[in-house]
Amino acid sequence: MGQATIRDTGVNPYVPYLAMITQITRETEANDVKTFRVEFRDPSAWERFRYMPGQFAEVSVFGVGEAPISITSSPTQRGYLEFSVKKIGRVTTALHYSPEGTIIGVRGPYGNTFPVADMQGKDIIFIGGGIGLAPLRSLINYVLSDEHRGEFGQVRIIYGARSSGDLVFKAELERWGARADIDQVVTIDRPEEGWTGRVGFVPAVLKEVAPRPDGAVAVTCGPPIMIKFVLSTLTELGFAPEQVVTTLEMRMKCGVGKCGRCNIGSKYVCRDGPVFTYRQLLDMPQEY
Amino acid sequence: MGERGSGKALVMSKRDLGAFVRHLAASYTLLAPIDEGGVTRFAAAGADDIRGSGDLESAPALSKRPLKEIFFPQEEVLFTFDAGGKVEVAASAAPVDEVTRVAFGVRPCDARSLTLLDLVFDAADYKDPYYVSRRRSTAVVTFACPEPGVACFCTSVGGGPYDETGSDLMFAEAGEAYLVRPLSAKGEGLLRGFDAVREAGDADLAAAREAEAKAATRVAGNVPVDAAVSKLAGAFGDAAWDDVHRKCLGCAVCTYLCPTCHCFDIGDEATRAGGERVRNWDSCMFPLFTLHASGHNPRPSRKERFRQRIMHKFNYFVENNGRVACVGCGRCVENCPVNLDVRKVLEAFAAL
Repeated sequence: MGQATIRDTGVNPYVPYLAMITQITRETEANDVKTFRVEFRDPSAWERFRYMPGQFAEVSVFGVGEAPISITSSPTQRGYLEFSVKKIGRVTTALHYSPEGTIIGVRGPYGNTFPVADMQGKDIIFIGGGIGLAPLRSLINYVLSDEHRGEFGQVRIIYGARSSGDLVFKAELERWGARADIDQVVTIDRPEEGWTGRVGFVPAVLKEVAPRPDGAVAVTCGPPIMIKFVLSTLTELGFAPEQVVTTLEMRMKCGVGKCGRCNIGSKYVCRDGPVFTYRQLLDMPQEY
Repeated sequence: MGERGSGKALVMSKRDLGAFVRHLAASYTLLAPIDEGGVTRFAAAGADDIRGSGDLESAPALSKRPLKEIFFPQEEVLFTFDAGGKVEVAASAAPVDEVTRVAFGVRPCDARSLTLLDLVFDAADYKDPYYVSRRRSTAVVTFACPEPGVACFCTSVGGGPYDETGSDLMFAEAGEAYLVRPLSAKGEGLLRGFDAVREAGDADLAAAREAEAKAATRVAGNVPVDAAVSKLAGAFGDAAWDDVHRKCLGCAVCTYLCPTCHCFDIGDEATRAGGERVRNWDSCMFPLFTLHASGHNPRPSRKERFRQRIMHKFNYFVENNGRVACVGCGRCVENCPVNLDVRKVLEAFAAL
């Protein structure tokens, strides 16, 4: 017995770090989106949890289960993570009923990142719809941070929601909009009393704003129907598929390429994604 | 006994097989195909539970349920947690440094399946400690198949009734005896202290070769897997999918009984004081498998789900790992309630 010496199997990818909800921000009028700021109970978790914009985590509500949630904070914001969560399924509903001080589980970071290195020196156009701004926010705040702002060109943000009450990160939108180095357009689908911003669907506003494709990268996230029309509008505007980046959602369980459900063709969204260029999507089966 | 090199053939009389099982049972936990109400599955067994016990002369037939469940059980606890969220990881995930279990009476297709599961659970990026620990603590004792079954098509997917892939110790019939081949340090360890073996002579090797040649011709299926694999690479949008899935009921028996299917679900079982995070086998044949919380489902009908099963095994897995995720055991063929035969599906695509 005992000839086979077995190496340490290392980190158990299914076991979450414990984290405490330290701040909850109500994002929408209907209160169906909240941003949860969490801090690891054991600060040494940060040594293993090094993330970049675009990555996600599996968030646990103990006794209810886990859900994959994109990290909406930027790695330049140290000491905490933020997740913006729409109350839509079992886990997200349980999270919405969790008050500040609740201990939750967080494991990750998982997936690839926005191609930050490829974006250096380029203008960036962020195009978001509804809660689709959450994953973009991580990259926006990364790009706008003092450490990194100089690495990128002009920043443009086109963001829309069904109504003013559905716009998320309102305080931040005001801060971004006030900056001289950002060109920001916020739009809602239908006119509202007291609304002085733009009215119209995001793809239509994108067409009006008509950013130039030269030396630019477009990063988009939102409802599938919005993404579809944004992609075709960007193509009309002359953006090559390589210049367009998006991030996908899928039902996931493991987050580490084993449980078998989040694949699109041979690509696992949890491991090979969630960030894909439009070029990559064109080469993948249309099954997402 | 002196030193034995891996792969060096030994001979054990069929009469001594029962004694060998008792030898193993004295030092290891034996896992062997056990009959549970008519369903054979690998589970912990005493020496006497193995068919024939003392006068054991042959290994059990291919088990109804696949070997995978002794490494990747249908349901397992990953960890427990208390009300404060304090987590206690299941002992099954602890690193192990010795062989404590023997899977006995394995067939070559099932042994081969382990090398496919390894690509998933023992991958370079993330290791599944539950699987890896069970795998490393287990030696696999395989019996070659002198008489393959009617649904077998192992020879079409790179295996064969005498395939040694994934085995630590291989038994092959040679007349009134077994040719016994240790294939790894694990396999050699199992023979330590068991004296009723001798080195194989030319006559033994010749008898074994004869049985092997006969067995290979008995694998009925000659499925055009290579041709199907090459056609499937461009067949995602093919109209053929509209037809091939039609009989499928979506019952998922093919995936549950498949030795290489590895999909799982993770969920919480709450108790008053805390709970357990559990993992269960899941199946791409079920609509819930991919259903988003929003109601959107990227694989909304049985057509997409059936396509996923075939494409995963014969295209996606090949693209990611260079091998088809099928060992030709025929369980999905034999157990499908509507006789939806994967061999026919592959033939249909090969003929496109």
